[in-house]
Amino acid sequence: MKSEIIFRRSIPLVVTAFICSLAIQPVSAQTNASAGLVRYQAQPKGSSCKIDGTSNIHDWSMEGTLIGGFMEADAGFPDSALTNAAAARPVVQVSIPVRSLKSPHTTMDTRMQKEMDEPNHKNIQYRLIELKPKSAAGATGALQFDATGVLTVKGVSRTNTMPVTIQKAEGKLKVAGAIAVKMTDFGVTPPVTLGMFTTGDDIKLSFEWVTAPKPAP
Amino acid sequence: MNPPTPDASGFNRRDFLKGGSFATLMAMMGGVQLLAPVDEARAEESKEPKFKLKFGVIGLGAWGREMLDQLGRTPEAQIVAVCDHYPASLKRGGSKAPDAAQIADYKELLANKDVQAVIVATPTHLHKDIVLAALAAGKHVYCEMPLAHTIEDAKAIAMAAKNSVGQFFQSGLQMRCDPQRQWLSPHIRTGVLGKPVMARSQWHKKQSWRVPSPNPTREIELNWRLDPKLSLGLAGEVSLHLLDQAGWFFLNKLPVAVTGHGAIAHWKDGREVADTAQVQLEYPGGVQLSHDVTLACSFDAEHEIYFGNETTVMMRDGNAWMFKEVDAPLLGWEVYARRDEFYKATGIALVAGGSKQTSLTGGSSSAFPFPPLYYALDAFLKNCAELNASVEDFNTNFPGGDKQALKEYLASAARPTGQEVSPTATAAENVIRFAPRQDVGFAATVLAIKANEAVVKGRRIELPKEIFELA
Repeated sequence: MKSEIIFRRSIPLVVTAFICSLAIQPVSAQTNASAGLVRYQAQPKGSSCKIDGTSNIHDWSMEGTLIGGFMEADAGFPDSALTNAAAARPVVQVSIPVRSLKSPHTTMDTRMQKEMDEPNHKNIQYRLIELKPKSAAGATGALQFDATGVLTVKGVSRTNTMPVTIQKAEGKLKVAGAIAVKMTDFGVTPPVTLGMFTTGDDIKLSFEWVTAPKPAP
Repeated sequence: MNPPTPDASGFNRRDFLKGGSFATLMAMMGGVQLLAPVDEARAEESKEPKFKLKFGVIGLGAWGREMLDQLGRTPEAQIVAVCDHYPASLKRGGSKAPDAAQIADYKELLANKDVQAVIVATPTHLHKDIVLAALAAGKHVYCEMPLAHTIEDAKAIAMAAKNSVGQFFQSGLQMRCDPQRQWLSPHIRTGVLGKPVMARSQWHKKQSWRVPSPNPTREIELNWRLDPKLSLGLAGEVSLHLLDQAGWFFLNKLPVAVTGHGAIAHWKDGREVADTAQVQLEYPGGVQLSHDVTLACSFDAEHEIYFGNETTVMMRDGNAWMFKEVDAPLLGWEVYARRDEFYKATGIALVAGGSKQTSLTGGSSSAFPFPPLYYALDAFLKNCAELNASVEDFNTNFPGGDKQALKEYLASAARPTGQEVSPTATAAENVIRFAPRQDVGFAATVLAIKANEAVVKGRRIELPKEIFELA
């Protein structure tokens, strides 16, 4: 009974404290809104990603169309990133479900998922650190940058830099890029299938990612 | 229980030498054996279940119980509920799945959120209401064939399946999932038969079809196959699998006409449904399938023969042999083949999943020891799991339920489910992934309905291609 009374008395205090904290804390959505940032949400259509690899028999590839995540950038992005250092550091988080990457052969998919420890690491993740412009200020169309970010596969994170293009059209942002990596850098053993198809360590990840402003609730 | 794999440990040096000698002898005789790769990948995948799919089985007659038996072999299948409105059937079927809830009303089973997939094994005329309710309840559905006893009901089922999003529907054409046929299909389509000439198939089994019943009400329920208003007769309830095979397996075409004849040749117990029937299917180009089916005698049981002007393939009991014409070109692989004698002909064994050396010793070496139903249910399980994974991945990344976007994603992400066997994929991949979907089930059901109509009327019926289309 006593504890119940204390609990009831404390409720207004908790609510008040929470409201105050909303007012003083830099809650990202509010801050971002006041800073004029736009949240671009990944779109279920139009994206694609691909892994190209080699083997002792023939080249192979796995493809998917599911790229989740979001980007928070200023309203002038990506043009603003050519001249403004702050604008070249948008918040970008990307997620690709491992299971959504498929080759023509289920055996290959099964082995790759096993090597990537899919049950425990369901997504390939990427977080952008910064963009370095390669296009000249005032350029139009697909703007070129070097993107430095953290790629996480099988729970292993590696910072890398890759060339990307970013294009804004009809309100949507389309980001495309590719990077060569080694599977073993992320603790992934190159899959062997049927006891004779041995994949090479080097692979190329390429993607096209489509985002659009998140509609107002 | 996992599917057994070829027992390599039982193959010793003596077997090897014996096989080698046999191979040499066959090479000298000009015979050959065609061998599919052993499905090591499948065997490895089967070692331990990666997932569990929770099943409900509706309809616990003889076939429903057979399905429970086959599901029991599959480690990924977890039977959580069984359903039959007749208490004795429910109890009997329930004994095969002791951990499953026993439910009399299928609506109660469908309301169970734990049930992810249902198997509908009720009498044909009861399929529609149950399948539509199951799809509406968000379940994956395996529907026995024929889908329905009328074209309208079959179309309603197939359209509901087609319009469902994130649910896998498989029609019970289990012979399309038979590894032997899946392995042989691309082989035949390479043109090894030469020009297709004709096909012949039969199903002979002496049995009444009339089931003893404790009372008149149960008599009507049990013996629905003998009610011409509800039953598609022998052509629809038995022959449809063999009729479907000729189009899919042999010619890859739909028939343009069907002719039928039926008679009550033996079981003169007042029944109105023929116990013996002949069906003739005509295909584009003039090739015909001649099929007969009877409950009056068992001689020669069940087999199919696909005749070509260069070779002929015969299938019996899940095995296949090829018979070459003397003027047929040398295929090149004959030197390794096992041969079996059939009266005055010598058949070259076509063995799916066989290992070369063990086959040469004459032992059974099939990597696919179970009936086609097992592989059909296995394909259903794995396709449901893959679909579940795709839906989960989509919803995790794009919460909010954009159903159209999900539908488009699933269409783009789908692997061979429901597609034709890929000749470049291994047999294991094809077996696991290939499954007849609603469009194939609808076309086979239409064919069964029209074949039965031809038998009942004793005449020829043309089959315009539009009748098979699921518009």
